[in-house]
Amino acid sequence: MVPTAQFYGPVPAWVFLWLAVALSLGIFAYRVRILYRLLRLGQPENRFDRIPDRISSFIVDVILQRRVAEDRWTGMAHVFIFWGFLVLLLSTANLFVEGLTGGAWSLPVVGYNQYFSFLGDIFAALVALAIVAAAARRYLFHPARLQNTLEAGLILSLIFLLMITLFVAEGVASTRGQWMPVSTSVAGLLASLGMDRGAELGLATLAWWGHLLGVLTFAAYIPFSKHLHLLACPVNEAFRSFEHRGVLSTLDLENTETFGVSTVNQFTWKQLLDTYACTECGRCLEGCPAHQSGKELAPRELIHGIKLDLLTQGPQLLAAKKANGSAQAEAVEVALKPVVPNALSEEALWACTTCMYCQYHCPVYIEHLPKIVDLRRDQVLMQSTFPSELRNVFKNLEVNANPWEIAWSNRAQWATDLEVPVLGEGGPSELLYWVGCAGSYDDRSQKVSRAFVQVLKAAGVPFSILGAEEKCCGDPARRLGNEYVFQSLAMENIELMKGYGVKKIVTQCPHCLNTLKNEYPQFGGEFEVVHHTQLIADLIQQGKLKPSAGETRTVVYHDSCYLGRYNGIYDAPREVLRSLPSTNLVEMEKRREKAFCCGGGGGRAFMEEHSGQRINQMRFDQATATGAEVIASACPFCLTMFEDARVARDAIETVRTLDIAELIAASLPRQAEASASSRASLD
Amino acid sequence: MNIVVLVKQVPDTAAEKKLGANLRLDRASVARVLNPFDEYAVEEAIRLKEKGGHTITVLSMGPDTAKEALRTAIAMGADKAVQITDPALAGADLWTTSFVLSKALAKLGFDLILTGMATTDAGNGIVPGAVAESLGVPFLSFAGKLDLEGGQVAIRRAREGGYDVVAAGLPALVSVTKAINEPRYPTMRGIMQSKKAQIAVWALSDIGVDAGALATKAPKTAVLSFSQREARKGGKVIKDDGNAAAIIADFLQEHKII
Repeated sequence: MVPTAQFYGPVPAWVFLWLAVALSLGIFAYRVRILYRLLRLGQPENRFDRIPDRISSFIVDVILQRRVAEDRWTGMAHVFIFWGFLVLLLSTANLFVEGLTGGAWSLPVVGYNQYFSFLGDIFAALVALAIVAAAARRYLFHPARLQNTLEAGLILSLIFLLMITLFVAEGVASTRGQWMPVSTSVAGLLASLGMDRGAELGLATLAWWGHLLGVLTFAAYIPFSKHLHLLACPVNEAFRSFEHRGVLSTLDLENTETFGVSTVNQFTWKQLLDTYACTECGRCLEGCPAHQSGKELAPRELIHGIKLDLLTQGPQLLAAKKANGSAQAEAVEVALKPVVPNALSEEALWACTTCMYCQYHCPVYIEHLPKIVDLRRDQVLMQSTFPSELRNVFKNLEVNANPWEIAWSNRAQWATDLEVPVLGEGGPSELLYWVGCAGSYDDRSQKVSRAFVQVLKAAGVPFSILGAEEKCCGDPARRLGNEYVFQSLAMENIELMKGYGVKKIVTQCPHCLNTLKNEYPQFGGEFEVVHHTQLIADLIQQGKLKPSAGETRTVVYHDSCYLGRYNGIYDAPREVLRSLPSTNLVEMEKRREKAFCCGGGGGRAFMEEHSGQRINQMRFDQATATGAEVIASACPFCLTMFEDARVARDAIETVRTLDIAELIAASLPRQAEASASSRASLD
Repeated sequence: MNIVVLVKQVPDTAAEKKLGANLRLDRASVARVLNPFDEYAVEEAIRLKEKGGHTITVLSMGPDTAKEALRTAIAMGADKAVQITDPALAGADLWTTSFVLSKALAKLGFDLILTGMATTDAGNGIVPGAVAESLGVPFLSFAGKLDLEGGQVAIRRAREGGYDVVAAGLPALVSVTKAINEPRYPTMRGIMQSKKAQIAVWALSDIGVDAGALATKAPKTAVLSFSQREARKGGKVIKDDGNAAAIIADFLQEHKII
């Protein structure tokens, strides 16, 4: 008999169940409604396009748990819990139908279906197992990325309890009389304790009520805890971004008056929804260079901070809107405390290198970077508040089109004695070699430019440079939030290149690559852009380059963030390195998608680090721990960072840091001798 | 209160500068900026305005491109801009510049004039004092700090071992150093406003100066010749075997630094 068929005096027990359901659902609905209304405070954003893509992404990422499963063991545990949840949702729904009707009805298909009960039993066991493993991991092994909050403990306990009550209730009650692997064993266990049937049934009834009331408690608790992710994650993933991850939003500088985000309601609804989806798993923290080096920034805390800001200040705004229509609401909007510094400190905001580790690995598709940049945009464009080192960087970009105080007219000086064709002086237009600011002006990177010119000439590739007409691509300005300087530079570059009919560009800087290739289309600049390692790999494959000279050495390759995570280029540089004779290529543990940032991106190369360890030194140590004598990189920022670390670690004699172009140039026949002397001067 | 800031557009510090055959700067490949010292003056004026609600007018004598420097100042927060430009002013020397500026200031009216202590092009640092003299107002130079109270302006001027405090009643002219503040970076709002701002353009006739009279006067200063500065030679590198202090002391003594 279903326990709710029992009468307590004149009242059938199912009355109590109905009351409990109403209470739980009432609390749940009330809270979810508030959460929804808070989301509506956010700005509009169109995430309703590409429906077919969204559906297939939903299937792959939510149902099949693709990103979650990337972390093998924890992923597997979660897959059990999630699929178990889906199956048991049906089982539990059936229990409720039976309970609420005093046993009169059951859920079609699910109820009285022995196969389904069998399945449910297996999954409940897997869930219980997964919970035990999760608890062991949390409380015995204390992984760095987890915080053992009361909430986390409560959730684990509740789920486990729900599984136990299910086994006891199903096993003993046995209204269906079939064998269920776990439940029947549990029943057998209880029987062996010497309980009589009456006591067993009493226990089962207790378990049954415990299970249903437990579920109701959990349901009410969900929207108040991080278990909100049950609702928020599937929705968040359905509304994920399909834009290239390296592209930041553009601002209409002429026609809008507000730029960036100051108060929490200036985020879009989707940016706010992200904060509901965060389950505090901490995967973002594992590769965050700011967090790992002791800075105030932690991606999880960024997201959590915004969520708290919304939950605490949002209701004020809601109340004002309700009470008084728009006039009052504006007054409240102005009175809201800004996100920076109240939910996120200034140090944290500027500590981000935009390496993309957090966003790339987040299992629930939270987009951390656009939030950081939107906050920076407000700081720079509206408040004019930013680290003092940046003022000169912005001014230099405006006056001389490079971040340093070097005249724009000297941009091609590095090429003076190299006979490099200049596009504006009639050079060949098939291929534009975009040198970039570092390649043009930085002493160390100029050597890379010269090496690459050697390589191009050795391969017989016709190319030109823009020379003094080239301006900074604008990447540092955009990442730092100065959309105004970025757009000025971008539009001037695009107009110039279109005027010359530029079609194909090769660049040695992944930041230039990302901006020229993925962001310039926002302003009408459509060019085919390749990284120099891709071009070199092609040339080697075509036999136009034959690396033949080389000393025996161990080389470790560092994946630049903007080349790897941003643009998926992991193999071409490695192919090039493997083509070098006598070179033993080794890998760091943190490589490819999990590569650790050098610390130079996001404009950070132009700022000081004021606390914690130096990010570049951390990465340098990771590289040298492989035993390599040469650190090979393919980005001027990374190169600069490694050179600095080399000095700081007193490793000038023992470790060399070289760009791939330099390694190839040095290995070319005929060039070997000349390069040997220039290599000596590299040290 | 009316604050006027004198500004000038100058070649960018980083630019490679060459003098042409006519002993004038070849401006073709040279970026133009608001004189860095004047930026500090504009910033100081804005800070005074934020405290006391004054009006800031920026004034510049220069060719058409000088408008860019005026717009930069407006983007920072100046209220109005006036440009004095006239064909007769091409190649004007310090005396002419000071004279013309003082005439313009007389027409504008002012309570306080601020300006950078010098411009980074010629770097003579004479115009501020000459303007003050022409106007007959007190000149407080090289201000590292400025206070305005009850019709009086007081500045601190750094000197060996400390600073002097110099005060004067308004109207007065103050030239500032880079110690006085950190100039702000314009907000987008400022930049947008500066693009739409109207700049009043005055010719010599508008300020009561006879262009003909100016042209016939011989310039009081003239460039006679110029030469490129020698490229910097590498410094002397010594390794410290315990005698580094002695070597350094000898070096400083040799160069009469100690």
